[in-house]
Formats: sequence, structure tokens, C-alpha cells
Amino acid sequence: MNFLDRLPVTPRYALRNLARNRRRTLLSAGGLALGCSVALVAIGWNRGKNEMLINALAEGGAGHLTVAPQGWLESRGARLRLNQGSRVLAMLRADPAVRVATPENRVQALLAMGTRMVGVEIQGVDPATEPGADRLVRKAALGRYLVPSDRQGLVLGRTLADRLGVGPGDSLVVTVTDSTGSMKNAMFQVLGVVDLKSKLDAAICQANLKDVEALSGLPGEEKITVLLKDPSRLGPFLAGLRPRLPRGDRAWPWQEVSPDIANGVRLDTVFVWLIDFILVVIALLGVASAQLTAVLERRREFAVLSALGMRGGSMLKLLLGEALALGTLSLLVTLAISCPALLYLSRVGIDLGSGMDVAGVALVDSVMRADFGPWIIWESVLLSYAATLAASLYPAWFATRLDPAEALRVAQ
Amino acid sequence: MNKPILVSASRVRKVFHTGSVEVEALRGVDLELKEGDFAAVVGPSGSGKSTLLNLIGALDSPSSGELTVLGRPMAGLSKAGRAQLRLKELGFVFQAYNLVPVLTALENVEFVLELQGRGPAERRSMARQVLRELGLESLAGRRPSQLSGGQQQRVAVARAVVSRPRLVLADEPTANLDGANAESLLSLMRGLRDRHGMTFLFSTHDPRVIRHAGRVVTLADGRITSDAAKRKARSGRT
Ligand SMILES: Nc1ncnc2c1ncn2[C@@H]1O[C@H](COP(=O)(O)OP(=O)(O)OP(=O)(O)O)[C@@H](O)[C@H]1O
Ligand SMILES: [Mg+2]
Repeated sequence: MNFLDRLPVTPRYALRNLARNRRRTLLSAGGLALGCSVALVAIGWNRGKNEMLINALAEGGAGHLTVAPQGWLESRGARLRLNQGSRVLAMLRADPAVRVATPENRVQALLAMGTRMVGVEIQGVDPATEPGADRLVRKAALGRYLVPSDRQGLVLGRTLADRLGVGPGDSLVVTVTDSTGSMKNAMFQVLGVVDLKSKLDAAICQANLKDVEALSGLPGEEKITVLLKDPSRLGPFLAGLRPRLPRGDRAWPWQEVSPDIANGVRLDTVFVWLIDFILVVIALLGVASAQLTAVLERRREFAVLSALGMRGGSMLKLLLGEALALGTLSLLVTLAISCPALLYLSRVGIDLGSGMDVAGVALVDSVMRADFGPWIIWESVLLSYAATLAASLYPAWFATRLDPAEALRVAQ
Repeated sequence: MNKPILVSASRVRKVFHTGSVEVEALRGVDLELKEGDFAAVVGPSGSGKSTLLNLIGALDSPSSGELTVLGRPMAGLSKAGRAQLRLKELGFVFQAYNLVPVLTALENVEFVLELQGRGPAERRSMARQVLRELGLESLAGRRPSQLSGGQQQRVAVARAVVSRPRLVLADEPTANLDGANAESLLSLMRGLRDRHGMTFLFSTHDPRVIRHAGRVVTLADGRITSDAAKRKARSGRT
């Protein structure tokens, strides 16, 4: 007695029906699997792209979350200061879930070198921690990055440096209007030039936080940028952090700090799912038509069975069993197509060329890769079975509605 | 001897509507079938034989008149109730393509038992036993395509009687068989009736088959024109 003989008759019956017209079964399963595979590759690609975008954003200085004074999210005012910046910073740096926490403040300034002048926003940073949070500035193309002992030193983006005609070692005049409204001048030296080959090169201008405090006349930190060791724990981390913050200081996830990027990610995901849905529905309609043909061919058989007293429920069980078997076949083909394709796209990826930015976020690594993970299994199971079951509903309903006397007479 | 009445029909009419055309397939049929009857329904094509068998077999319901099958008035029976009656208490043999092509002879028999909700051990042994009784044991593992027409009909009879229904209905069961096979199918059915007291009602055109019947009901144009018990029949007709 082999394995099949131990099953009840219904599943044996369902399984053998698939072998009845092998070509039709293979075409149905193959067509559906192709649709599901393209859908899965699109999902994998989108996931990879989003992950890369979020990483690039987070590690490009925006962090996973931002701690700033109340009202900062709305006004982004450079003159706002955290109520207890150094206490919050120490608390964050002591937290084991935090990879790096780095403070920042800003001041509007005019940089002048000889007759050339450029208006910029100087970012005051902690030279000890900034490179850990912002991988863009780590790559100083000329000169070097700031170190904590530097005073009146600047790191500039390439475009900015070219406009001023300066390089490492050159001095320039920084002019600001401080908090009391009076003009202030100071000499700064260019220490390094960062060349990302992106439009960010026109905006990068970093100095020691202490220097910016002195220039603006506003001591303290405007905000603290935090990178977590495990970005997927962002929600729980925020929930634990918020009650520990001093009055008047707030924490926001990157999605609220950069709503454009978050919306872009959401929109892309919805769009990919919509396209996938349409794709799978088209494949599903093909399967439904093949299944309906199969049911019509078996009118006589269903008429006899229903004359013998087979009820709609049993017939549904039989036909859904066939759908399940077809779904399993289609699942196997889907995995056989989509796993190697996604594995290739996740390992090798596609090179977008240097200086690429997606949605305004500079990508440090120009190769875009798809995501490959256990989700492929869940989603192929979901797609294959949902599609075959959906495709079988109408044919099954049709079969259960057959009037036995009528069907016997017509099919005689 | 007063045998129980299994089927009683009184002034049964059946009208089919196809578009604006009405066809009166049965025009007031009165009939009683008693337990142990081995009855043939004969008559020309279109006389209403299949219609009558379908009504008695709870495949369809009468347009008017009274029909009681195994104690149940057909008029009050729902679609589900009729399916239940067919599954649990009636046996059917059709003219051809009776069997599910992807199932073996044994599985075909087992399948109805599974639909009846019987457990695996019980249905396996019941199916084997009926095949043995009908001398079909050696065909148990074959699919219908590996069986002759006569063998297929015999397996269909096995499936119809496996759960010992009191009434078995067969609409032209021998129509596609040659003479020898037709007679052998009839004696198979006859043997079941003799051994187990099952009641058979079958329709036929074939004079050689009619010879085996214990009772012949003749239909013409939707009416019963004669209903005769034959001397040869062992059933106690009154
Ligand atoms: N579902 C139906 N719709 C319309 N007319 C029908 C239907 N079923 C039967 N009829 C008609 O009813 C009449 C009796 O048909 P029935 O099938 O009972 O005859 P029969 O005696 O079995 O004939 P045959 O020997 O050819 O099988 C015929 O005129 C037939 O056309
Ligand atoms: Mg007929």
C-alpha cells in the first residue's frame, strides 16, 4: 500500500485530476508562477531600494531618530536649543541600544575669500561622534575631517570650496549676525573638502559645535541625531525614551523628520502592490478560465456524482483540493524562478553609477540590490494559494450549481 | 403476502418548460412498487421512462400529483433533503460513463461510502466485500479505461448496492452493452434482489432484458398503458 492509498479518496481524486490534462495543468501553474514571480521580484526590488534609501538617509546624517526642543519639527528654527542637551546626550550615549548619538546646532553665515562670497548654513558638530553618524563626511577627499581639538576649522563640500576658490590650509572670513543682532567676524581655516559628486556638495559646511555656539551667541545643542544598533527596534526604543526626556524636549522618528522620504517609500510600496495585484489577477483569470473549462468537460461526471447524492460541500472540497494541489505546483515553480532571480539581484545588484541620489538622498554605495529573505517564502505561499483558490471559486460554484437531472440529460 | 410499499405514485404529472414550449412528459401516472419488485419500465423513446425514474430517484420533483418514496412525500422535500435521500437510501446505475475515470473500481465504490461519511476501515472492507460478492475482485485496482463496457456497468452496480439501499434505479443500464453482457448484468442484479431482497426499477428497450423482469410497466406518451407481473417472477404481486 503506497502513500496515496492511505489518503481518503477525495484527495486522491483531486490529485489525479491534475494529472488528467497535464498540459493544461502545467500551463496554468506555469502562467500563474510567472505572474507571481514577477510580482515577487518587484516586491524584493522595492524592499531593497527602500532599505537602501532608509540606510542612506539615516547614515547620511539624519539618523533613525532626532531629539530636539518642542516645536522644532514644525519650525526647524536654528535658534532653538534643547533644554538639557548635555544631560540627554549623556543618557543616550549610555544606552546600549544606541550606536551613536551626536549633537548639532546651526548658524547662518557668509563665507568670504577675497572678493568671493557665499551664504551658507554652518553646521556645528561634535567632531568625535559626527563621522560615526554621517558617513558622507567620513570621506574627506582633500585634507582631513575635524578633530575635537580643532578650533575655527571648517570642512566644506567640493562645490562650495570651488565657488570660494579655497582648499585645505586656506583661511576665510566668516560673518554672522548673532543672537543680539550685531554683526560678528571671525577667521576660519579650511581643514578638509568633501567630494560626494552630488548636489549635497554645495551645502556641506561643518565646524566644531563650540565655534558655532560662539558665533551665534546661543550656547547648547539644537538637536541630537541618534542611530540605533537595530533600526527595526525604533518604535519600542522611542516609546521607552519619551518618558525619560526632560520637559520641553521631544523625540521624533525619521519618518516624521523626513516625511517626504517616508511618504515616497509608502507610495512606492503601495504602487508595487497595486501593480502586483493587477499582474496576479491577470494570471488568475487565465487559471480560472482553464479551471472552468475543466469543470465543463467534467459536467457528466459531476452530474453522476451529484445524482449519487454528492452535496455542494463535498464538491467544493474536491475542487478546492484540486486548487490547493495546483497552488502547490505553482508555488514550487514560483520559488524556482523567483529565488534565483532575487538572489542574483541581492548579491550582484545593479550599478546606478556614481553620484546617484534617490529622492534627494545621496547614496554612498551606487549599487542597488534587491532584498532576499524568508519573506519570499511567505509571500509566494500567500500569492500562489490565494490566486489558485480565487481562480477556482467561480468554477467550483458553477459545479455545485449543476442540476443533476438536467446535466445527465444534456450530457447523455 | 403483504410486502411493504416502497414507492407510490398517484396522478403524477411532469411538465417541462423550454422557453414558451410546454412538454408534458408524464400525464398522470399511478404506480406502486413493493419491496422485492424487479420491474422494467418499457416504452418508445420519449414516452417518459427517464422522467419517471428521475422523479422516483428524487433527482427531480413532480409538477403535480402525489409521490411517496421510501415513506417520504417528495413534494415536501428540499434540494438538500433529496440529495440526502439519494446518498443514503437509493442506488443508481446510469446508461454510461457511470464511473469516475481517475479512480479505480475499488475507489469508485469507496468514494460513495466516503460521501456517506463512513470511516476508512469500514468503507474499505465494505467495498472489497461487494466486489467479491459480484465476482469483480480481480478488477478492483483497474481504472474504468482498463475495463470493458460490461465490466464498467457491473462495477457501477456494485457501487449502487454497496450500502444495501432498499431501492435501486437504473436508467437503460444495458443500452451500451451487447446481448451477452446485457444478460449477465441483469442476472447480477437479479441475484442481488434474490439474496438481499433489494428492489430494482430499470428502464429498457431491449427485449432480452425485458425477459428477466419480474414485472413490466409499459409507458406510452406519458401514461402507463399496461403493468403486468410475469409468471416467472418470484415477487409476490397481488
Ligand atoms: N429537461 C427537459 N426539458 C424539456 N423537455 C424534456 C426534459 N426532459 C425530458 N423532456 C421531454 O419529455 C419527454 C419524455 O422524455 P424522457 O427522457 O423521459 O423519455 P424516455 O422515455 O426516457 O426516452 P428515451 O427512450 O429516448 O430515453 C420527451 O418529449 C423529452 O423531450
Ligand atoms: Mg431515457
